[in-house]
Amino acid sequence: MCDVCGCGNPSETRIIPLDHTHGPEQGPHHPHDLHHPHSHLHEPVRREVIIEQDILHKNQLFAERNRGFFEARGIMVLNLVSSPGSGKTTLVEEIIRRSGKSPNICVVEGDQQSTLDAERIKMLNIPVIQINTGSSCHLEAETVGQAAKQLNPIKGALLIIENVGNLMCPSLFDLGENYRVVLLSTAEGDDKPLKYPSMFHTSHLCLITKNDLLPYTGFDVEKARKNALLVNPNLQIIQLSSITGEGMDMLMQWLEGIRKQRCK
Amino acid sequence: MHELTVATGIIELAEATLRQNGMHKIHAINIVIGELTCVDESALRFALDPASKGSPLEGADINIIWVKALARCEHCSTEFQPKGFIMECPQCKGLETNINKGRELYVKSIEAE
Ligand SMILES: Nc1nc2c(ncn2[C@@H]2O[C@H](COP(=O)(O)OP(=O)(O)O)[C@@H](O)[C@H]2O)c(=O)[nH]1
Ligand SMILES: [Mg+2]
Ligand SMILES: [Zn+2]
Repeated sequence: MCDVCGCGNPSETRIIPLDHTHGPEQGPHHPHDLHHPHSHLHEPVRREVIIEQDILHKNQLFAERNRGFFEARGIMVLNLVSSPGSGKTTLVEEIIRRSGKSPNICVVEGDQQSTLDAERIKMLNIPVIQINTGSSCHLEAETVGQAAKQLNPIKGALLIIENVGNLMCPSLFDLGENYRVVLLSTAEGDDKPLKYPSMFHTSHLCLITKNDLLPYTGFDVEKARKNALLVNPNLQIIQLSSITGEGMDMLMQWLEGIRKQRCK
Repeated sequence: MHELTVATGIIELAEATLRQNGMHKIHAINIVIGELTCVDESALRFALDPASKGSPLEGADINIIWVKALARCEHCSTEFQPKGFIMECPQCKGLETNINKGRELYVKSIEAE
């Protein structure tokens, strides 16, 4: 599927801060050390050298580092994942609008190109950084960590990461988030949890979005729920619409709950 | 396409190992992938081909060892192979199951000199 975007070169990833009040552009860059506890016998013949190391271990290391940073700061972090257009940015805007006068929310926007989404968030006076992943179709922990440090969230903040629109690749990349939230819009079909199970399998909360479009799309909510629970029985599910506001109260309650948890 | 990130990770591990062992040529690399990782073999091979050009991995045999998914039911302890991430226990239809195998994604070894 992704032959189209043919992604993956991390050197193309760029971090673009939009809020000039939040720190300088350059982020700290950590050299990555590879540890190899192997012996150094020199034999001229062909032999097998055991490696047994995780291929994505670098991302995992950065994810753990992020988790430590978030925990130390008392920040709650969401990773929003979905196909392009299921309503992630619209939902983030709506969450911000419903979070009162001082929302204490920061946003990291991930897209292959453009700063359009970050500009939308900035309009709401919320600190935001755009990450452009270039040819890569998912966010990785290292760049997210750099962006989070530039945003410099204060205690009790909610950091919302909007991942690159893609229902497959981001599932492999832990960003150090507390909750992974998968959006499934009623325009996408109730079979998606079975077609892209890994994303639903690794998420904590599933938001069925664009509930207002139900009369037009033939989306069967019960079927979608059943399919999602088949691949992840622990998945919480909330049905909502960012346009009409139905179901938003439930999401706001859920958010309040997890933010309290972290503030304790 | 996450396969290119995976390919890059494989090449980096192979190069570092080669260097640290004072070796210079890789004949083969053995990679272990669980079927629940959603890494696609042909996409990975397709990504590895150009990505390994000019690296010590160029021209080496790429052996991929697939690990089938294996889950265990928390209720009745039945072990089963979940199909397509569907975690339902075939014995008791319970949904509380633990995945024991299928998430592997690592480089096992290189054969080098
Ligand atoms: N009818 C309806 N449209 C929505 C809703 N949420 C988002 N949209 C529309 O869906 C399109 C994509 O939304 P966007 O938030 O940019 O999706 P993203 O790509 O996931 O960030 C836009 O035209 C939105 O106006 C909703 O709840 N109901
Ligand atoms: Mg968006
Ligand atoms: Zn059972």
